[in-house]
Order: sequence, then C-alpha cells, then structure tokens
Amino acid sequence: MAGGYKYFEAIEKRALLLGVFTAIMVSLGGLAEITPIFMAAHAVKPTLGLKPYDPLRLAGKDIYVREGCYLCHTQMVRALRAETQRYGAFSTAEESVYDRPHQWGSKRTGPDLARVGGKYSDEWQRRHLLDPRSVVPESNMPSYPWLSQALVDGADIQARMRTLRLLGDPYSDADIEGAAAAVGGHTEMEALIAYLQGLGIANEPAGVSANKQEGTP
Amino acid sequence: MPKTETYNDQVVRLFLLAAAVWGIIGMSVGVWVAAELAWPFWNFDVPFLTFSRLRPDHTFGVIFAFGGSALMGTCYYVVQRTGHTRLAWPRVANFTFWGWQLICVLAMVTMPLGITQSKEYAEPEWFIDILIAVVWVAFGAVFFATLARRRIRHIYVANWYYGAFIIAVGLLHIVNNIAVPVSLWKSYPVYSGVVDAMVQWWYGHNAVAFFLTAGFLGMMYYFVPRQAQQPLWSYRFSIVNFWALISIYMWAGSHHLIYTALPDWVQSVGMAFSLVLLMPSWGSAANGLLTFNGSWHKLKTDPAAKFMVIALVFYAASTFEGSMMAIKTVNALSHYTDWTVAHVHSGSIGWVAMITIGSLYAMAPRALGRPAMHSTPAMELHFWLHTIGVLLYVLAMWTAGVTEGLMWRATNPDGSLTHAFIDSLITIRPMYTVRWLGGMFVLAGMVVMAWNLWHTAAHARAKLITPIPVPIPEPEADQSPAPLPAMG
Amino acid sequence: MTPFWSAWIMFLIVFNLGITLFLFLWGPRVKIPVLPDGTTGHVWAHGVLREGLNKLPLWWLLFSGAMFVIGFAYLYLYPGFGSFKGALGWTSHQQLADDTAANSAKLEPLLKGIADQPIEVIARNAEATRIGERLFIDNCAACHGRSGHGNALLGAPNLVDGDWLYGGDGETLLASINDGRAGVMPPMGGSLDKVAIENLANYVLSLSGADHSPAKAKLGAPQFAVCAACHGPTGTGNPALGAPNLTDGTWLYGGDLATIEQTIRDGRHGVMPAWRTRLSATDVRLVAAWVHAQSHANAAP
Repeated sequence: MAGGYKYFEAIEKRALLLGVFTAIMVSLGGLAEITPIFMAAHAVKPTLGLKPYDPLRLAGKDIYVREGCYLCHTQMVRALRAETQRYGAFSTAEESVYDRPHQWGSKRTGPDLARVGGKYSDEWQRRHLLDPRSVVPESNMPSYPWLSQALVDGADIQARMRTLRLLGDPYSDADIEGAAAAVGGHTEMEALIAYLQGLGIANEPAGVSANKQEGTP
Repeated sequence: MPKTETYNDQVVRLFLLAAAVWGIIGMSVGVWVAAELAWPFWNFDVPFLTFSRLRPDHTFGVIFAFGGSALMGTCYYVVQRTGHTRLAWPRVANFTFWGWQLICVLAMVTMPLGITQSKEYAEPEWFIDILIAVVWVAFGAVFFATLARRRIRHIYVANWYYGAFIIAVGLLHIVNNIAVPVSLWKSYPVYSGVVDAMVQWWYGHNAVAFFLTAGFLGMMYYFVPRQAQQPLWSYRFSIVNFWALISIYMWAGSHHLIYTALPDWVQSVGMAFSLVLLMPSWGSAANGLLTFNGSWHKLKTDPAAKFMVIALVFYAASTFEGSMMAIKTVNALSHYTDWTVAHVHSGSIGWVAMITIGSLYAMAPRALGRPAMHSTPAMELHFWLHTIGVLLYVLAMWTAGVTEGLMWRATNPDGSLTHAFIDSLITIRPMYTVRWLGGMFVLAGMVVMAWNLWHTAAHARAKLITPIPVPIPEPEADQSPAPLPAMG
Repeated sequence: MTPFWSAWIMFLIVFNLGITLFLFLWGPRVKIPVLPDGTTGHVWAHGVLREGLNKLPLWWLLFSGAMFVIGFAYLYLYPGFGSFKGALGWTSHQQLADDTAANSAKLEPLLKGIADQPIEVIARNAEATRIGERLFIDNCAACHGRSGHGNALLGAPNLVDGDWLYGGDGETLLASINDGRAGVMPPMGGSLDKVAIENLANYVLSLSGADHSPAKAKLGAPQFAVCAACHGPTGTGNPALGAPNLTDGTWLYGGDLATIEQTIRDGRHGVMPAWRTRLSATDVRLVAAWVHAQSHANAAP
C-alpha cells in the first residue's frame, strides 16, 4: 500500500484530468440517492387516485409559496411518537405528490401545518392572518393584511394549471376552462384560507384519514 | 517579455469591494429579520419587509453575494499566484464580476417582492437561475483557462478545492433548478413532493459543502500557509481529505430528512456517510491548524492569523456538531428547532465569515499595493466584536434549540405531552433578543472592516486609472517537478 | 425497490466508501518523494508556498477509524445498503408503533376510567385535567385564549365565567366539542334603517341595565319582536339555539353601542369546528373536563 503516488501526481499535474475526476467523484452521491427515488416516484404516481389541487386551493398554495410560509412552518409530521401525539398521523410521501416545490420545511418557529385543515374556523384564519396577535397574543408571526386586498387572477391560474399539466398533473380541459370562474372574485386571503383548510384533508390518499386522530393525549 | 507581465488584480479588487459591501448588506438584513422574530413590530405590515419575504435576502445576501464575491475574488487571486501566470480571458473575468453583481441585485430585489421559487437557498426565479448558470460557466472557463496556462506544473491544493467548488456548484445549481416557467415571474420545478425534497436537500446540503466548505477550504489552503509563513502541514492530508471530502459530502444531504416521508434507506445512507465525513472534515481542519505549528506567536501580533485560527476551530466544531446532528436520535431532537440555526451560524459566521475576513485582511494590502492594512487596532477590534457576536449568537440559539426540542417531546410519567407548542415559543423568546444582539456585534465588526479597507484603499483610489502592477516572478528554478517555461 | 436499483445503490456505496477507505489506509503509508527540508519540493507563489509531508496525527487516525467502523456497522444493522433490510430489521414506522404502544400502556391506567365516568367526575381528577389543559392550549386556545377567557373579535365565548350559550353540563360540553357549533344571527341591515338600528340597540342595552337612551330604547322596543324569536320575549336567550342571554351583561362580541349596532346590522356567524375527527374520544372528554373544572372553580364564589 505504499506505492501508487505517481497516479495521483499525474492527476495533480493535469488540469483536465483533475476536473474530470472531480466531476465523477461529486456525482456518485446524487446518482445513488436521487435516481432510484425519482424512478420510484414515477412508477407509483398513477396508482394513487389522488386529485390535484382545485383552482382556488392551487392559488392558495402558490400564495403560501410566494409569502415564504415554509420558513417558519413545516408540513411534515415525522414518524416520532411525540409528533403524532401532537399533530396527528405521520405524513406520507403521497400527500405532497402535487406540491411543486415541496413544503416540508426545515424550521418550526410556528407549529406544523400538515394537518391544520379544519382545525380553526375560516374567520379565525382570516383574523390570524390579518393580525396574529389579536387571537394568539404570544405569537411572533408577521401580519399579512395585503392578502385581503388582492384578487386572484383567473387567467394566471389557468396558465399555471396548463404548466402543471405539462409536468404530469392530471388536469382536464374542463378543469382548466372552469378555473377562471372558480377563482373569480376571490381574494388572495380566501384562496390561502381554502388551501390551509384543505391541508391534511383534501390532499391525501384514502386510508390516511381513517388513521388521522391525534391519538392518545 | 515574461518579466514585465503583471497579475490582473483589477477584478480581484472589484470582488473585494463587492464582498465588503454585500457582507454589510447581507448581515444588516440578518439583523433586521432577527429583530422581526424578537419584536414582530419590525415587519411594519409592509410586504417586502415581512420576515418570510426578507429572510431569503439574508441567506442569499451572505452566502451568494458576500461569500460568492469573496470566493470568486480570492479564486482569481490565488490561481494567478499559484500558477505564476496572468488571469486568462480578462474580458470574461470582468463579465463574471458584473454578471454576478447583476444576479445579486436582481435576486435581492425580486425575492422580497414575492418573485421566488421558495426552494430554500435556491429562491431566485428561473430567469435569474439561467443568468447564474451562464456566469458560473464563464467563471469556470476563466479559472480552468488560467490553470491551463500556469507555469508551475504541479497544481496547488487550493486550486483543487476551487475547481471542485466550481464543478459541483454548477452541477447542483442546474439539477436543482430545472423548472418550467409559467410566466417571467413564476415557474414550477419539474420535481414534486418527496423527489423535490431529496433534490432540494442534496442541493441545500452541498451548497454548504461546496460553496461554504470546499470554496473556503481553497481560500484556507492558500492564505493560512501564507499568513503563518510555514509550509502547509502535510501534503498527505491534502490528498486524502480532498478526494474523500468531495465525494462523501454529496451523500449526506438526506440527513436533513430523517424520520420524514423519505424512504428509510436514504435516511440511513445519509447518516452513515455523515459520520464517515468527519474523517476529511477534521483532517482539513487539522491540516490548517497544524500549519500554524511554529508560528503560534504570530497570533499576538497578527489579527488576520487570529481570524484564521478561530475560523478553523469553528470549522472543526461545527463539522463535528453537524455529523452528530445527522445521527437519527439526535436529529429527532434537533431538527426543526433553533439548534439547526445555531449550527448553521457557527459554520457561517464562525468558519466561513472568519476565514474570509482573515483572508481579506491578508489579501487586501497586497492587492491594493500597500505594505499592511491601514489600522491594526481596528482589525483587533473587529476580531473581538466578531468573536463576541458569534458566541452570543450560537449560545443563544443553541439554548433555544435544545429547549424547543426537549419541550416538544416532554412527556409526563402518565404518557401525556407536557407542553403546548406555544409554551416553547414563550420560553425561548428572550433568546431571540440575545441572538439579535449577537448579530449586531458581528455587523458592527463588518462596518469596522469596511472603514479599514476604505482607508487601506486610499492610495489605490487616488490612482484608479493606472493599475497597480504586481510583477509575476519566475518560478523557483530548483523545484520538483521543474517549472514550465514562461509563456509568450 | 427493483433488483437493478438495489444493485445500483450497493455498487455506488461500495465504490465510494471503498475509495475513501483506501485513501485512509493508503495516505499515511504512501511513499512521496521528499526533500531534505521535509517538504515535497513543490513551490508556488513567490516561493513562499511549500508543502510539508508530516505524518498524519495518531488521534486523527483513531478517530477516523472509529467513524468508519460506526458507519459500516450502521449500514449493516439498519436499512440503507440497497434493498438489504439491515440486521436489526428496524424501520422508522415500526419504531413509532412500538413507542406509541409503550406510551399508550403508560396512559392506560389513567384513561381506563375516563371513558365511562361523567365529565363532572373527571373534572375533579387533577391528573386528567392537566392533560386536558395541554390539549386545550394546543387546540382550543387559538380562539378561546389559553386561560379560556374567550375572544370578542371571533365571538369565541368566555368558558370560565359560568355563563353558557348552549349549556355547561358535561354532556352539552361534549356535544359542543365533538360536533362543533355554528351560531348564526341573521343580518337586519336590510329591513331596518340606521335610526331604527340605533333605537333597537338602545333597547337591547336597556335589557341588561347598561347605559342607554331611554327615549330611543322606547322607540326601539317594538322592533325587538323579531329578535324575540330566538332571544325570547324578555331577551333571556335560548340555550337550545345558542341564542345568548341579552340581560346578563355578558357579551360575546362586545356590549358597547357601536358593536351592538354592527351585530344587528350585519348579523353574526360564529363557528366552532367539530373536533370529533381531530381528537380521540378520550381527548375530547379530557378537554371537556378541564373546561368544566375551570368554569366551576371560577363560578363557585
């Protein structure tokens, strides 16, 4: 095991070789971890029987994405007892199959939202987004008053649905045609609330909800 | 006429200036968003000032604008001096400077306006991503072209790291940002759900590995021996660490997704590789620190060396912490809490910022044609402001994170949960104030540095029209392998 | 995972860890040409950059060796090496199931009685109400406040004042939590003009003896006939409908003139979500018991 230096020396004296070997070495991890999951995800998709976001919830999801909610809220109940006890059944891969990008998050300055749908009334959500401290005095969440002033743009949502269809989300022509009417007149606030109220309810495969009780205290 | 050829330091100076400016901007935004978490009043109900819109400006500002400018500047500086050659393709090099600044400005303006992909650490929208890819390829071309015209046959280890940094970041950036545009302002990634999460954290973790580690290790490998005025501790270490570090790091991203809906096998692989990663991580830290053997007295007189040593200590500490946090039982406690924030900042303001500041202090006088920085006491002051700041920050967030983790899982003897979620926030709020204070210290130090650089550059500013020539010396004649003949 | 992808993963793991292990074993031993001054003879940057060839420190060798051992052992014991399930047969979901089962066993003695005991009895069990309080703060406090004092902005009632819309006995509390409540008051703004609303609001104020203009109240009194359908002819409310008592000085949305005018004009629609699908039957009983205990502790004197 004492020889072989000359091969390393040869690489270190040739910029091209050094670059090529570097490129090979940095590719291994991604090839091993991403490609199998990528292929598996494509194989599983058709069997789910999941519906993609309806237009208003899609608009709401994109507002959630735009405002950067993922920076303080996760949507991922981990498979840990204290988490299922607090938030409900652990999250499954299928639940986020229409999330582009995923909203699993990395930090909980606020609580997990994976199963927040239906937990509070629409009015609570509206008050809370307008002024979080009017309902939760200890909160440090920012207010989002501008959401109730802006309207969702129907043509924009249609364009978004067409792009998503290109990426494989099963929207029909009728879905896209009806989208403008479905979001017409709704504010961004209403769209976001519709999205939040569907979290853990509207976008999960059959079978998860049966197991959804928050379990033992 | 090789004797009259000079280094192209003009673009280096531009990057140096940009790094100082972006450092102050990025850290100011950081202090602002820290204040918003402690006192939500600072959101002002203005969309583009709101925490969730502004935080990407902090991370992009310090990582890509400040870190990126410092890396590209030092890379151009180092590749010339370790090759005894002038930078290749000066026009392209200038393009990389202005292109990168344009990217930074565009990103920093669009993200708070809600024009964002919301992929953590890859927020800028698709049109900025394309610009980044173009500038990055140009940067790589200048670097490798300069390497190709080097006059010393053996490529120095700093350049291995700069090269890996360029190649890997290009690969990560392109794979992670593949998206289909809806309009100029909105696109959807081709990946969704679990695949997107895996790609995102493969990218996110290796942005840390290659932007914040490999690139800065390149900086370290040049400036530490230079400042210690000692030979690099061990070439053996360089070889072992380099090849291990660049390959093992790429597997570790899945440790960001432990106990999530990602398949168990990927989580385990990420964890196992994270532990093996300690070998090259501590090897690199040791290679840097041991280079100071015989020069420890320099710490008394040279604040730049002091920054470098503390940077390496933080590097060792935070890579150890990171590998421990990748262990699934530790991760179950630490993940989603402020412990992650503590870890990131011990790596970024401890390791990355301090090695950068040390290197800037070492490089600036030389690139500006001065014998030394304008004020050594100011460097000393900066060192203490920065050190106190990072300690306050890290200790506050570490306390907060462990508190959150413990409170979220605390269970009464009868099996019921002890605390409501909101109680954890109430408990750690004071720590958010301490963190803000730590950030203020770090920022104050950066202002001191900017003042010092400004005065050091007084001479260069006065004669901005004529470049300050640093003549390229002939390579030493007696070295092995023998140097290449001069170009041209 | 198909055999192909399993083999693919196995190959890449072996290849990459193999190279790394080779570097680790080879690096300390390899013969590299060395000059008398202990450097490699490579020189850069004005002659100031040189490389030493020091031996790798022993602590690093031991530490790194340990990391290899732990890493390999982990891949042997846990799932990760392609489709190999790991010697322990561990999965994250099995771990969760085991943890949950163990924890449920701990909870059992406490919860055993709770299913059959009336809420009024559970409310006297300090251990049970402590769990109830935690559940209340995580789930109910967002509207009712963490001490249960309610929130007039939302029309979320105060739960600790002993005053009830639908009733404060155990069974009614259970029904409220399990199935939720929708308190609907229709808007009168369409049928009454501004002056009529002001008069009616003064009359409503007079019912609880609050400050009001008697003249206006007198004018407003006849309009109250419509309200009496729910609130009763004397304004004492109707728990079956959740129509509040207007004579007791306790207000859901606020008892000032302007708020009452707004209530009459625009109506109210207070929603309490149904918790049956979110909380287990035991959880609901625990929350109800805590609420019961709070309201009765405060209402007693």
